[in-house]
Amino acid sequence: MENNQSKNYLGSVNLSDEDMEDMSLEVSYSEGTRLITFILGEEKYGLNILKVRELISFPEGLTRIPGMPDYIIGMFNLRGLVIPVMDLREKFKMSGEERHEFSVIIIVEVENKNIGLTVDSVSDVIFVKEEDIQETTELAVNVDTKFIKGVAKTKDEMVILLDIDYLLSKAEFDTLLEEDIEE
Amino acid sequence: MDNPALEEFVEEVEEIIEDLEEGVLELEVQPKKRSLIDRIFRDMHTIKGGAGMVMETELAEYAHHFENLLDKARNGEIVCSPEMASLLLSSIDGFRSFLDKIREGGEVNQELIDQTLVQLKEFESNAGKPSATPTAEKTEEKKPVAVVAKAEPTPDKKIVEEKSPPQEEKTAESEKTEEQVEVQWDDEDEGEETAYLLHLKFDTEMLRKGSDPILLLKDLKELGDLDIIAHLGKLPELKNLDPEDIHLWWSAKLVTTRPAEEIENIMIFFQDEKNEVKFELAETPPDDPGLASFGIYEDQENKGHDNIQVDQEEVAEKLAEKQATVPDAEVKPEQIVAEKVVEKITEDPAIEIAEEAVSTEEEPKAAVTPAPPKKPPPKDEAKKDTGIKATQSIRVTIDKLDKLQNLVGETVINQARLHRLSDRIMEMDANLGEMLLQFVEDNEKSVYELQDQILQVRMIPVGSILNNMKRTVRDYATRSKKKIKLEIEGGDTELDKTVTEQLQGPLVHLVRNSMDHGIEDSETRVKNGKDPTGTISLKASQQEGYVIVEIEDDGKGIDPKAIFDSAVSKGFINDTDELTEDEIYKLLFLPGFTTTSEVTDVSGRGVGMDTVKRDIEALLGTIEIKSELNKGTSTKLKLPLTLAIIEGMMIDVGNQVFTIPLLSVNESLRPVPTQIKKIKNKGELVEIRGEYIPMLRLHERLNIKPKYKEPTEGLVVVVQHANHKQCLFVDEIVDQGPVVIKSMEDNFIQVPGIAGATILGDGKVSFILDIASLVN
Repeated sequence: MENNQSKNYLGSVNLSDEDMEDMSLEVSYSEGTRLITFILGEEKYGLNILKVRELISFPEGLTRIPGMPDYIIGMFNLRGLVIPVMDLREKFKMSGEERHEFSVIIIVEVENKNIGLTVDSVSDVIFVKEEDIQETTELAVNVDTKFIKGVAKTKDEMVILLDIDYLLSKAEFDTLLEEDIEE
Repeated sequence: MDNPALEEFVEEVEEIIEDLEEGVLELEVQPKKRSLIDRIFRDMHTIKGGAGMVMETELAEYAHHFENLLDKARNGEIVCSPEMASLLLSSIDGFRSFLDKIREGGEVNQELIDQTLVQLKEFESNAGKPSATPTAEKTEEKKPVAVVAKAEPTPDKKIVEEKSPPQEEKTAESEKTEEQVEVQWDDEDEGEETAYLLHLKFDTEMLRKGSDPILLLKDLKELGDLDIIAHLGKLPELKNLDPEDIHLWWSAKLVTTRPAEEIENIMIFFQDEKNEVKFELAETPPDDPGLASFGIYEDQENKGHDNIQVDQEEVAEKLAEKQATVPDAEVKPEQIVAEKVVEKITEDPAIEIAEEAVSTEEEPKAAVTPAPPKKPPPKDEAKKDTGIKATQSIRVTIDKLDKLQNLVGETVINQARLHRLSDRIMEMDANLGEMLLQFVEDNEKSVYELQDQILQVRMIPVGSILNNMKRTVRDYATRSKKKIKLEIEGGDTELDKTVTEQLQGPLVHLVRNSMDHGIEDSETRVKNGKDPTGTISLKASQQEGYVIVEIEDDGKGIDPKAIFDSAVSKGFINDTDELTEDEIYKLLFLPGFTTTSEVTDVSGRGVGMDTVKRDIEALLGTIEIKSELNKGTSTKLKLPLTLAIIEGMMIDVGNQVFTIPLLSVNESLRPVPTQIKKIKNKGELVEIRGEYIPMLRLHERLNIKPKYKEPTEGLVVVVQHANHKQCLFVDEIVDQGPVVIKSMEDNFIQVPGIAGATILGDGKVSFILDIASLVN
């Protein structure tokens, strides 16, 4: 009996980190979330600011990674860290060029990995309440809906919430290697 | 696991378990070694205490059971036997299960825990009578029981006369009447008796913190004969006395046969910045009365007390003097006081005898005899040998080291930039440029030194994992009834911590293979004229920037012909192929080659050599097998000292710079057209000194537009992996030098053909080519 008790006690303490993180996210959504918003093509996107490590201008020397699809535009040196950069326009198969020189890289941290995302420009940091966020099912946007978490409506605009955890998940990265094989 | 205390506890227990395991394995061989029992007991005790503190009550209780067992063993109620060692080994598995639970959550392996506890009960009830254990009798026959207890006269009330250890008392009392109860420890009469002078001064507040000097004294007296003087100098008047403070301090003389580390091991629990607990060698003959002539103590006690009161000023003076002459900051007022006391005592004629006796040797003077103030106290020398190591090292997470290393790597890169900048300034202003260059070069030295030092910090002796093999071999030998001896050499060779840790898996695999398929059973061995006990030896050594680990057995070896035939039947090669012996052994590493039982039988080699090879290659190392039929097999691993830095050759392919590990590069050359042969289905070959080596156009493989279309315009770099050579056609060689390796996986994924990334002098990322995958 005594044994059981102490086991239970430990069991509840040792809640896995993921569980805890999920819970905290849940909480933050129920109250609201701070988003960083950016422009990509003709639309405004947002992602949870807690995922953003820093913003940088487009780096000078980017080294292409052999065998990777076009939207992985290379790796660069961020103060000693070697970080890959994903071109979101390319990834979402958007038309329109004129990128790079003026584009900005958002360095995000997902699953302990730092990854750069190119966007056209960064616009704002906004706070959205939970009730203003809509699940996505029928969205008329250019982006594959699997990368989208929902839409936040503010007073005068609509922000598409990017599902950054899915976009940069290990499963998604693993498809890079498959694509490589298909080529 | 977010609790830092718990984390620290787990780390600590992991270390203890390692020590425990080593101790138990030794105990199995020398079950009568008292110091081993003590060591194991202490380990168990520490686990118990720690577990209690972090509220892991189940673990604490579990450890408590085994602590009890060992306590009985210490007291001679239970005689240690190989069975007990086995039991203790299973307890270690139990501890590991607890640690896994704490670390990862989930459940402990309750079955295992219960099972070991049942075994423990059984063992305790069976082993209650020591004479039941045959090994005990045997040893007793060989070594007639000697009564160790020394009856020291204890005539004086003022002296704290410590008694001999309890089990010795017992033997003294029951001498010759109950012979079977006496336990003779192998190491108790081993070696010379040595005398140590102990200096025990504690934090005044110690009692309030839950510790007690008596605990230390009790532990110490178990080591041998302990004579103690209490110094009453600081004792306040009764009305001012706070019973919860410690007012006394102690000097003691310990005569023991145990090594100094054991004293250190006990004292270590009491050593912190507030306590002054140390010891030094007193090379007085142990039978010398020394401190033990009690009449002297009485005088010392009284006089010392008085004199301290009187001599405060003089002490202060002495102190100033000493600090002036001895720059060593370690000289503390207390030490001087101690010397002062003794100095005064020597005025008493009775004490001169003692002084003479003690001072016949040079080293131990400091604490007992007056040291001439002009000379630095010689105790410092003694301290070096027996010294206090407690605060000499700190625990740092590997994370912090990684960060540090990153920062230094960045500094190294900036240094290269600075160099280029000063070159440019030189062009504009020679004087200024010269000055700047001078500074840059000075700075460069420090930066490289810094980088080197950080790498050093990450190095740990490879011995820890080699020693882990002892258990693997022991367990296997017990199960299989084969007789196997494990020899370890070069355990102090240092390797990067990450490399060392990742070496464990392949090493276990190779040692198991040797035991399973290499070493024959005793009968066969004798039949073949070999020692019935097989030997596996693990040798580590450092050679030119690499660490070589060799796993050698004297088993039946592998027949190259059997491998060849098997490879033919599996369709890996044609029976018309001509292979050198080395090439044949290389077949063992082919995936799928060794997985069938048939091959295992024929070749005598185990499963999964391809996995071992992959693991070693992931560490940027190479593996080689050599074997001689009936003589044995040897596997040689060559590993870089560190994963963090390699020598690299930077090559250019279509304006993108790639890095090739220099370890893999044989040579580079620009071939003439006649050297290049095209062969149907086999691609292009380059003929180099009569040898035809296949060529890979790197730009095609990497999908880059090259500067040169033909190797006769560019260069070929001949790389070698294991025994396979390959020519890589590149545009040109750019540079050569040490590069800091960054893992691709840290922020991305493992990319085929790329072993890692590095940052070049211009700050750009360059990919390190995975030669193994390019060659195959």
